[in-house]
Amino acid sequence: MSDRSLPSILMVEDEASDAILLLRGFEKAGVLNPITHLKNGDEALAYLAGIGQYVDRSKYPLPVLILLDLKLPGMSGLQLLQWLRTQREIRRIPVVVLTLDRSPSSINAAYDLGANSYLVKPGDPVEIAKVIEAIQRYWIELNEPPPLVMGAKNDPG
Amino acid sequence: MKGPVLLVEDDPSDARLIQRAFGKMDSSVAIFRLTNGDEVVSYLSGEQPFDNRNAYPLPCVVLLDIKLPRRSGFEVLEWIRRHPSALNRLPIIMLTSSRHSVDINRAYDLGANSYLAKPDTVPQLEQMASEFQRYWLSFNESPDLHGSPNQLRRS
Amino acid sequence: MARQSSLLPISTARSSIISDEVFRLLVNNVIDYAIFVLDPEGHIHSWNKGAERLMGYTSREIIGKHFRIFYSEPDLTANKPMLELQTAKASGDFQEEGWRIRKNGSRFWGSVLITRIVDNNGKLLGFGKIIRDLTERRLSDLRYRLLVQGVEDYAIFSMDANGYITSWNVGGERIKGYKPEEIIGKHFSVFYTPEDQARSLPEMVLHTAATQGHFEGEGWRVRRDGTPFWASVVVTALRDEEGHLYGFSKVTRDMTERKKLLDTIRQHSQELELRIQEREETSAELEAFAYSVSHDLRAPLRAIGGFADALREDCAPTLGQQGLDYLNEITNATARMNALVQDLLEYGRVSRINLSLGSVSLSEAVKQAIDQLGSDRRGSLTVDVPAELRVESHPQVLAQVVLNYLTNAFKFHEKDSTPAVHVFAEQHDDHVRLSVRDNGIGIAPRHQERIWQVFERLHDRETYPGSGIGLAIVRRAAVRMHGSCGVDSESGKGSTFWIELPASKNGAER
Repeated sequence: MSDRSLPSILMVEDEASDAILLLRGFEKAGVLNPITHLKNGDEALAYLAGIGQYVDRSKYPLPVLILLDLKLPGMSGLQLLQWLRTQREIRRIPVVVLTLDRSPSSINAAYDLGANSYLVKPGDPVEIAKVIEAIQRYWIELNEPPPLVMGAKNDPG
Repeated sequence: MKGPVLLVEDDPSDARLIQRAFGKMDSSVAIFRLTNGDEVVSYLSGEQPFDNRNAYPLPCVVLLDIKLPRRSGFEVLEWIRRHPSALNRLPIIMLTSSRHSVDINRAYDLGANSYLAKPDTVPQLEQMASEFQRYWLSFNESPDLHGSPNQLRRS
Repeated sequence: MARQSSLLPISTARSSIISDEVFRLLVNNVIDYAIFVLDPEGHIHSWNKGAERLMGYTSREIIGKHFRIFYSEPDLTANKPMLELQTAKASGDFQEEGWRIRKNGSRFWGSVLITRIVDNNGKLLGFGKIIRDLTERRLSDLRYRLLVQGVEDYAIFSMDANGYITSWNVGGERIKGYKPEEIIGKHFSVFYTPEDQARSLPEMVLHTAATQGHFEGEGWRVRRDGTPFWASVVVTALRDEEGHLYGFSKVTRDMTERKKLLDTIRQHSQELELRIQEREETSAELEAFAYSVSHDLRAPLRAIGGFADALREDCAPTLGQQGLDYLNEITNATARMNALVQDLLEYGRVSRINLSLGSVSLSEAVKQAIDQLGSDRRGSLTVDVPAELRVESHPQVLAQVVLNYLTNAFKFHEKDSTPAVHVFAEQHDDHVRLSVRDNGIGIAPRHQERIWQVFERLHDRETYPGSGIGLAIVRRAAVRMHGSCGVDSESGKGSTFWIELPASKNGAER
């Protein structure tokens, strides 16, 4: 079970089967942070901007890490990344690209747009769990995240 | 073949303890230490005495302290991110004793890939070295530093 | 009526357009002016509605009577009515303002115009007389004059359109030092300094008043004896009913004392600002110092601790038991020093200038603190903090406060006793009090103030370890969050530490 008091992780992934494998990976790695799973770039943008149904930040908190697939219906992962890096409040949120695409052009483009790291999704469930565990250990436990303007200030009501 | 890890650390004790922790890992990747900001610029530019790329290959990742003689870690970071070549994609991980939010924010704003606080004890340091190597040296996909620079780079 | 009209066809009324009848009706119906005709001897020959309204006589009562009945005894004794007629007869008209008597004996202030009426051959036919009631204006003028004359705190005087003084009050005499006879007729620029005169300030003042209705300003002026005073000045343009400028009124107040006071206050506030600036610079320096402490002081600590660990790991066999014991001492001391530096940094953090406050859930802060408690927690811990309580605070700093209280609550116990710690909170009016009660060793009343000071300890480090900064952080934080803190305790009977913070305005709705 996830712990609501821990910072959440946003996972943007359109492939249902991949999403299931990743979520299982989080479970296996013993990640307690709540995972928010969104299926396309437009929804992720709405969530991060806190608009539409995602206005209430106490219900939809800003994530401490974003796992981003590149190939998404509608707005692409790279477009979302490019948008995020221009946003005043949330521009520093670490983004780890997690995709099947291992072409150098995509890797370079992701770094050029400000991705913090680029990981290739393995096909094997065991390998996926390993990647997830590494993400958890490194980004959640080791890395100092940017202080987010959260809690009291954005708390509506 | 991955390039070395460039460790930029002016404090000899810290550097030695970090190198010791890295040395305990099973890794084929070399760790190369520099002691000030100017040296990093010379190294990455391939200037004297680092003009032999075979002996001083481009790193796959840089571990960068903030408080450094001559040129601060922030200045080095800024220099790299503004470099006209594909070198500007080089993954930079800050490794510093500061947990100041001002420093953390500034590092991310200047384009640091990650920010690590120096652990206080040797076991913590060893664990950090282990996670660092696993993540950045085996899982993470490195960008191509030799190709043509991309116009997409955010300022 | 026919008799009255026979005398009316005077001068201009003989026009082909306006008939005698129309003119008669016009005059007869004017009610704001008494208009009537006198024969050459002064007998009343016609009477209009205005005259009836003003004097109280009907035309039937008055026609044929001599107009002297409008005059008071003294005026009659002075033969005033006949003198007026003589003047009008000789010069064409007579004008004055003066008291007249109504039918009921009451007086009114009238503006009077008597005009000679002659025929084409120059023969005197009689007099036209027009009277207007100006009693109200006369009385208010009088009241105003008395008022102005008597005012001492303000110099109030009037000037003609060119700035020459026409009236003067006691305030003017008192403030500027001139007697009325010394100053009336002089130009008002004598009150100005030579410099202001040179730059045409007096002309500018009149120009502004004339074009904009009035002028207001403050500045140095000069008394009769040459001493300067700080004046607050209002100059108002005086215009007649047709809008022609006929003069100015000027009110001047001596503000020298107030000016001195204001200057003193301004000087003080400047000094204060300077001091605040210095203080902010000091704060910034202190913050920079704290930052240096974090970097420079902790670096050698990491080295000492790190190499002690490395020594233990790499060289344990050659060290022997005694060597390892010494090494442990080094490690413990390093950890202690690390904690000390950490606490000092925390103390610096809560002292920082910008501590942004917002609505924070008290129960969340308590929960966060309990999570950080770690191995210090032993015995029992009960929490009664209503989830709806919210305070104006800073989340991390509040959690730090609670953590410091909890750490102490679990720490200060006799060796063999089991801590029982109770955390509870309640709202009183507009503030919330959070209390942490323990069953520990307690604090004697005479020590209850000292414990809030930095580095103040009541016990030796071996019995109860700690930096001696924890409660200083709490107090600093409480003040910075616009709250207060304190302790209720007796030696041997446990302690209750509390912090009070302003309740969030929307607290009840949550």
